[in-house]
Amino acid sequence: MSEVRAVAKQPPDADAVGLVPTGPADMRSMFDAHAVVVARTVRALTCGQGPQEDLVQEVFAVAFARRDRFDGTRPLDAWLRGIAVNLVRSFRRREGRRKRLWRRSGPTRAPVTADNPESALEASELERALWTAVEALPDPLRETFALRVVEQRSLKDCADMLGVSVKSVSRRAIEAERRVRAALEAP
Amino acid sequence: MNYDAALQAARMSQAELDRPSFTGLEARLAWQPSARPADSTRWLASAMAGLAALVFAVDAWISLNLGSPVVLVLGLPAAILAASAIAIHRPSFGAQLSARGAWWTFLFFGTAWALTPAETLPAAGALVAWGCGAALIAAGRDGLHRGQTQAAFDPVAFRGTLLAAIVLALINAHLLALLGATRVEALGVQGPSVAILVASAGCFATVLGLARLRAWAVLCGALVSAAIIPLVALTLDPPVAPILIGSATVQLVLLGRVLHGFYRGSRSIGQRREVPRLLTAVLIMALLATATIVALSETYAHALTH
Repeated sequence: MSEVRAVAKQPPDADAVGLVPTGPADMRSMFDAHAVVVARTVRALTCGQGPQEDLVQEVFAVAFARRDRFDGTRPLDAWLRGIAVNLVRSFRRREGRRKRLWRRSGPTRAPVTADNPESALEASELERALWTAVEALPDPLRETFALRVVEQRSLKDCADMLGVSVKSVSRRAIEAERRVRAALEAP
Repeated sequence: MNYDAALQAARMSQAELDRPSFTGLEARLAWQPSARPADSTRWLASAMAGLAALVFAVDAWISLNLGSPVVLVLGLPAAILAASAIAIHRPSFGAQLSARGAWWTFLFFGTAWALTPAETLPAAGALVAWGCGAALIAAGRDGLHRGQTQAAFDPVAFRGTLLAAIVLALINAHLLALLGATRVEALGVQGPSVAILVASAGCFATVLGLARLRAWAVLCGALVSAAIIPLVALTLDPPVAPILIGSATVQLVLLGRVLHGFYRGSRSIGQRREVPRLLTAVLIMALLATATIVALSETYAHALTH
């Protein structure tokens, strides 16, 4: 918990504050600087499924709409990833309702590159199997696995984004890894 | 399957991720859907709803002083309208929708009140209709849009149809609750009164289910609407009965359309379509004009008589 407080107390990120756009035209520079990081977070949190590009754009749209609330005490990319966590949670809730009411969809297959189709296909299959196992986890474990294990964010970063203690992140990551490993290595 | 190899593949795939496209974001930023109407229109709508609530409150107070056996039917609308005047300030989809539902209810109710015989103060009914109509026009559809709010109502199809069905279910639920409560207050607990209150509960359940995109709510709404039509025809009198029969019939048609879409598995029928703004504006104006003309003519006739 004290580590989480330490994150909150760190000095303002001057570069990040400077990057917060004041109008739609300034948005481009912020998008260029942080879009890839946000896209990776969104992809990990959605287990490679869903309208990821839409969600990434939504993260920036929300960040723009709430730019007054960014006080600069947190790094800008951490703030953006925090928004991404909330939007993906909301997306998954909505998607769950939609699936019940309107449609059912399975996990999407990762694209296969043309350079080495055989190994790429194998990697794609492995990745798909991993995401399927992660998808089956409860939300807190899935989010922790995506951020801590796949994205390899620090414990402090994960705790900040998920709004839980560092201890919880550590415990959840271990449990999530154990479950995913068991699911993949089951005979 | 090897866990470490799978994790490595996922990490590599993450690392190779291309930058997403910026296309479309600029246009998206130019229009930010609002979670509630703008300050000025919100306060105007709130004041208009407050006016309608005041009319009901004054009428309830007069009825109480005259020893009328039916006070609840006038006290409840005042409470509902006062709650709607507060709800419109909340940036949540549920609050915004319930405020609109209350205003539509009492726009119809006020018009019906104005159409009743002269001794029941048609001018008060017209005032209620004007308060609710003006509130609806002032608030517009801000806060009901699909967009950035976390609790936004966002089905992949039939959004407009479902929104209209929710508002109609709210109208039915409010009116049936009021009429059921009145009958219980005036006549005691009887079969028809209980049936009316049960139908009202069914409408409220439909509202909750539809707002949460539950499939059962579509069927429940259709069944309740089908039950309301004969129930109202047999137990209630004009001018509220035609309103309830009309709204239940329209709701039955709308939900029938959704059920038909389910059956055919087609989402294109109701894709991204909403009730035209012009249609709602014309309906509101028509109701207000009717209430005003009737109230003025009744008041004039009353003045001539006395």
